[in-house]
Amino acid sequence: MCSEMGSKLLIVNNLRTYFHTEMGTAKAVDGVSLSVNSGDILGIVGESGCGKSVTALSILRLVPHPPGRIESGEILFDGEDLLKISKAEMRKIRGNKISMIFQEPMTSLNPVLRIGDQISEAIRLHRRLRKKEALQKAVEILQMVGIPSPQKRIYDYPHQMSGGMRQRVMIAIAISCRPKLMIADEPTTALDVTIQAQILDIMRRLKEETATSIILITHNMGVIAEMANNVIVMYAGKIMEQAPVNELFENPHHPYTESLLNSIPKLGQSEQKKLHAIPGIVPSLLDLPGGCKFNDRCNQAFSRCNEQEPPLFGATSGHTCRCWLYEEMNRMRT
Amino acid sequence: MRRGLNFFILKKNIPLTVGILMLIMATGTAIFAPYVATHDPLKVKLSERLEPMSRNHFLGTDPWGRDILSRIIFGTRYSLVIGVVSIAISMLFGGILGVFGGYYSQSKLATMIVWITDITMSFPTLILGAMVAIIFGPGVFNTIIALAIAFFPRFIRLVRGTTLSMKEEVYILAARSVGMSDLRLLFIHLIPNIISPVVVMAVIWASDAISIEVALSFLGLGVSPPTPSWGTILQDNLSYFQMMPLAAIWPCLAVAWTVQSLNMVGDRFRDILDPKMR
Repeated sequence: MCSEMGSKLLIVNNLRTYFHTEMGTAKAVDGVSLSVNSGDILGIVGESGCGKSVTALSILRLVPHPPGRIESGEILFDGEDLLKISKAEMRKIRGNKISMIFQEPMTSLNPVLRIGDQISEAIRLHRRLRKKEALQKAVEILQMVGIPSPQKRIYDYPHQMSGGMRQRVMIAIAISCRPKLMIADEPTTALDVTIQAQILDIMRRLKEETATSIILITHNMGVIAEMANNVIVMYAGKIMEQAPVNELFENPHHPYTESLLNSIPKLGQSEQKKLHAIPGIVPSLLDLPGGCKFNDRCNQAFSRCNEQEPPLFGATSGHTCRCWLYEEMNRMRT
Repeated sequence: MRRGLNFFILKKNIPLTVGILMLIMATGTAIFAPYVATHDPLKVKLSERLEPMSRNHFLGTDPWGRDILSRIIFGTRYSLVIGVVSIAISMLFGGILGVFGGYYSQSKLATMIVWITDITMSFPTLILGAMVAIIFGPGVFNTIIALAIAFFPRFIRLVRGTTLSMKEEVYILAARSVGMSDLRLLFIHLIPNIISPVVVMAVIWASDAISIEVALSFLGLGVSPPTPSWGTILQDNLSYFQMMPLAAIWPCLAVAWTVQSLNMVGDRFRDILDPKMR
């Protein structure tokens, strides 16, 4: 991984973010390593509570502390370890070089400020601009994200806009300083399907226009298939499988990934057949099973799965998988 | 529609309109007291003591022959100013401590603020005010300070609670994700969002402060006797209640008028300050 550092915009090495609660320590992110190439979209999928969002917040060092804490790891952005720089330097990176879009467009804008003020304020944090110039820039950006008559819209309060419109405003804020990396934490989950398509369209277009890399967090496999170049499947704070998007959909290795893919309803599926569901629920992070974290829900689990946690196999092949079934593959390739 | 208050609200909201009118009348009385009053509120004339209502003394005279109406009119000044100024001081300092206590809720200072608030909140506001008033002694300025201290914990608790819930909002996280510093975040995003419930409560608590001032003055702990405060007027007239019951009721009516108007305005203020109504 280290040999191709030149084209990598972001490298996360062995990141561990724990939440220290009264009931015990929740290992929300437990040894995650990932990398994002310039201009790529990295998709992160997984069920709720598997550590996707915490990974994203950790990259921006926004994990609520206490109880959350980044215990160890490296986050190399443009060769600089974000975990080692000062708070003030980190503030200069947030919004400027790395920005974030949140899941709930309805609540992620300040209700008492006009949206024009919110966008121009974000610009003025990082660019020396007069208020009027920043407002003018806000109009331009709103135009870019497809908001009609932006000159009027900048005087609106958030409650005067629909969810889709607000998410466009959030995207406008996120791209206002031309960041190199945009982290989108379930940007379309709260929106209805037609708006979802529009928002994804805008994101893809902006990515191409501004050469921004994107980390796209979602639990929607369809969104991943449409947008991502590379995919990471997470479960219980760990990466279960990582592969280029076509490879993952055509040749999923991990039983968890297979189950996720089987759980998507398909057009033309016979009516008799019930939709596949993964049995059980995501285990509590305070009470994880021993061995492989997925063993209690896995349909292919065998005795070793309960005893020993598998490492990530196939580290050099570009398609890695945390499952004992693929131990052979590792031996063959390495 | 876009800027400022929407005065259309006034047309539809009868209690608010009535409350504001009542408050304007009370404030006007306070400001123009020398012109409205018929007599000097401090002039003792023992030959005219305890006179009933007449054309010369509209509400009669008190045991020292002073005109009751004039005293109540001048009393409006003291009661309103003491109530409003003490609440304003309390809101400012309680607000600052509350915001920091809520935003940095894990710090030692915040824990201490909560401790002190909890201890002082266990006393009823009147008792707390009386305790502080005893320490400072009577007088207009001292009463203001005593009331400000008595209402201090209420504001800390209100602002701290609002801040605690507000800082979990996604837009606060979103603002941090664009690189905003804590101080900017407090002033641009947090305080504008908590200010409206605080102002609403301040208006309602101003009415509490006025009634507590009346109580303190009545007990001799607030404004000192020759000064015409509603509390002292009541105190003067109450001993002759059986002879002249109405004389004791007039100052109470003045209190009721002001308290009611503040409550009506405060209750309806909420709707106007809600950004969704703008």
